[in-house]
Amino acid sequence: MNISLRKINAIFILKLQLFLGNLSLLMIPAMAIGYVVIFKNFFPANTVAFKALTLNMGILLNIIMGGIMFGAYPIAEEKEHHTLGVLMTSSINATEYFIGSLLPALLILTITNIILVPLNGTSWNQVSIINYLIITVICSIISILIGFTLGLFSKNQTNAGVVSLLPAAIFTLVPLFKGFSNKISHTSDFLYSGVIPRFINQSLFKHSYSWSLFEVSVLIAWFIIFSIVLFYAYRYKHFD
Amino acid sequence: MTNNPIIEVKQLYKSFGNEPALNNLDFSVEKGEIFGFLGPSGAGKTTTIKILTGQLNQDSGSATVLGSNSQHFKENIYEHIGVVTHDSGLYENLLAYNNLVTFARIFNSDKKSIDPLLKRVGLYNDRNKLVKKFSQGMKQRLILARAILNRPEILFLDEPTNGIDPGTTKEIHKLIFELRDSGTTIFLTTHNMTEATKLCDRVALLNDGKIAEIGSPQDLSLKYNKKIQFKVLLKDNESLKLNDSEETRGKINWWLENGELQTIHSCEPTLEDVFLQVTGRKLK
Ligand SMILES: Nc1ncnc2c1ncn2[C@@H]1O[C@H](COP(=O)(O)OP(=O)(O)OP(=O)(O)O)[C@@H](O)[C@H]1O
Ligand SMILES: [Mg+2]
Repeated sequence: MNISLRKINAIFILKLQLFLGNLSLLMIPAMAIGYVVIFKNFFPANTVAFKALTLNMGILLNIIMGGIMFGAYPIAEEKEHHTLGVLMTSSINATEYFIGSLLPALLILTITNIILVPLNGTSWNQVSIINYLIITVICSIISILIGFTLGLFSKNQTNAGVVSLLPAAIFTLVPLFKGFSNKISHTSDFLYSGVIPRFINQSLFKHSYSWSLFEVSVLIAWFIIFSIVLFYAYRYKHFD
Repeated sequence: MTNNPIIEVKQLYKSFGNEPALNNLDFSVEKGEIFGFLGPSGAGKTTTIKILTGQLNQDSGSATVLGSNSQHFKENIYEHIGVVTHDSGLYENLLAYNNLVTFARIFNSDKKSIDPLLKRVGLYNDRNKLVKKFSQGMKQRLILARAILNRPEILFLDEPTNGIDPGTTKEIHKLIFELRDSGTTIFLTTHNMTEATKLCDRVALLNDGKIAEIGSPQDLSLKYNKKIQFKVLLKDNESLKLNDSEETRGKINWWLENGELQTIHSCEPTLEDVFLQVTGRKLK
């Protein structure tokens, strides 16, 4: 399969234009930012635990809810307006389409992730920016892949919003509530989104973070599984 | 005509369930002609276009377009093909202009060609409107503009004027002729026999997934012109329909010489009549 950078770029600009005109999508990163800002300024309980909780909440909202919606909505929009078939009969192949759609979403989510840290009053001395970027980018990509798959199974944008809610809620809430019970904590360990609070908590509480082989495997497994799921979903769903 | 067809279809068969939608079609389209598929609803027109453009696979037989088997198209063949079907959509939340710019980027075509193209389809003054504010006819013209942005060698049009007002229809017909004159091959479908007669260099009459007849509209009318008739209008406003015979010719000559004749027409069958004769079925 040939991959043309020019065609990826064309899809990139197209999707960026559509994202910047879609207020309901932009609401999600805006909410993540708003949440962190409000909790920093109106509840100035300056404990580390409180800071970690708000930062985790902001990042998870942005990456999980945002990532899944930024994946699902645009594909549902293409299906609703019958434009996916037009791209495919205009010499765009699936790889170009998905990379071109993924990158602008990743750009918006990553910019948001980067500004969440200072807005939360956390210093980059406490959080390794390299590790932060690696973890948030990988988790965002997995969310977007899940979103793509859900989008392929949706009839229209409203439908995409509905089917995305449950998975988005699970991947956001389970890691947040992992302190509540061992069972939740154990489940969280196996979710890709569980890596985020562990990284933030270790960075803020213990001032250091080291990768574990288990975490790396969890991330790789989710990435591979959803790449394969997306591949098959696309093969069977894209022209109906 | 050359014997180097740009589209070649052999024994094309496709069924949905038990009923065949296409029942062993054979035809070919020559470079530079306007080729029409004329047939009633359900005849298999859209199915044929979908197969020819690689969006649907047949059960058996083959379709070759620009030398490539339609079941194994590589993406770049679409750089030489334009496709307009019922489900060709537009980015409703983008400006009309940005819709075209997106495809200019994809095809690497010159952005300077967009404005003249918008003028050609009468949308230049609306170029900075969101497509969701467009009427159906405006959308159809924008879809057409997008399909010819890459100067395709073949343009596939599935009922290009269905549901379009007469003014827009006329403009679209003009555009189709201009494209043909600039060397584009056009494969179109229609259930409108006037449109087929006016536009097509050759038509295939499609009925129940089979080609009933194929040829130029004129050749088909003449071929099925079994009973030659004339319709005359005389000076005293008397209107007559006469079968061709020694006697009729004598009368017509006499009227001509004595200035009695207001109008005279030959009554060869329309494509609609031919269709009815060949298939025993009306077009609509
Ligand atoms: N996806 C499908 N599933 C089942 N049957 C189908 C499908 N697509 C087409 N058919 C059937 O195949 C036959 C041909 O359909 P097709 O859409 O090609 O007709 P058409 O000539 O384009 O008609 P129209 O003028 O109404 O557009 C019809 O009997 C139709 O019911
Ligand atoms: Mg049709």
